[in-house]
Amino acid sequence: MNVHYNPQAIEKNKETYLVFDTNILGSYSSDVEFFKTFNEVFKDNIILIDPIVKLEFLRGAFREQTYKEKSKFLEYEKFSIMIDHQEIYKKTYENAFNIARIYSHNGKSNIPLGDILIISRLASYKESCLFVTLDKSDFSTLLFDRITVLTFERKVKAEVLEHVQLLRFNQSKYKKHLSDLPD
Amino acid sequence: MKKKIKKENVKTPIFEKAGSRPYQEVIGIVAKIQSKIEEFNKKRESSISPTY
Repeated sequence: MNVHYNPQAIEKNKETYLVFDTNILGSYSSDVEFFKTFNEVFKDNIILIDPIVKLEFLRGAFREQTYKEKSKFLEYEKFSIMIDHQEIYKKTYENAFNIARIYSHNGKSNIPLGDILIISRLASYKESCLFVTLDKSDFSTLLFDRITVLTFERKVKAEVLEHVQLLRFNQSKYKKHLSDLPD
Repeated sequence: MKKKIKKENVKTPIFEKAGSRPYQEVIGIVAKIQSKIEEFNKKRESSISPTY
């Protein structure tokens, strides 16, 4: 599979944690060529799985056998699960209210609840991590910095170009938008 | 005697290793999922083909 990207941008972030969006996890789990190519490009990165992404990924597998296969897939040694505990819940929900209000104030009141929770968790992680997604609408430069974009030539019936963006949550933008909310 | 751990020194983990399945095993699972999806799509296409 051909992929077009900026090698310097990947090299610069080679030890950064990657947090997958559900759309990326879906392609990564169901397309051997995409799986191989992605692993070649990001050979030094650890992949983090958000609990909401895990839920979105597994909910489609209503057949027992598919559910088992997908669960086994999530036990890949390159994955780490972003765990939940009281301290993280508190911070995530606190952020969720703020993020929902910021999106609403900026004309995006229809952002899916799952996406709000994913952004909220990213906001509470002090560790350097990049969010990997195909979704340019809900995950935009409103609260993120776009680090780079990779284009994968995928063959899904016809050939399609998939633009995968790598985003970093920007705490300054978050604070600025929060302070811009009207009284 | 049990050593007392100061609260501020306890770091709460924020992620944990998902498992230990190696690349070769996981790529086999991906191939299985891919073939199931392709099979499902073929069935769906044939079932929605117009009949005259």
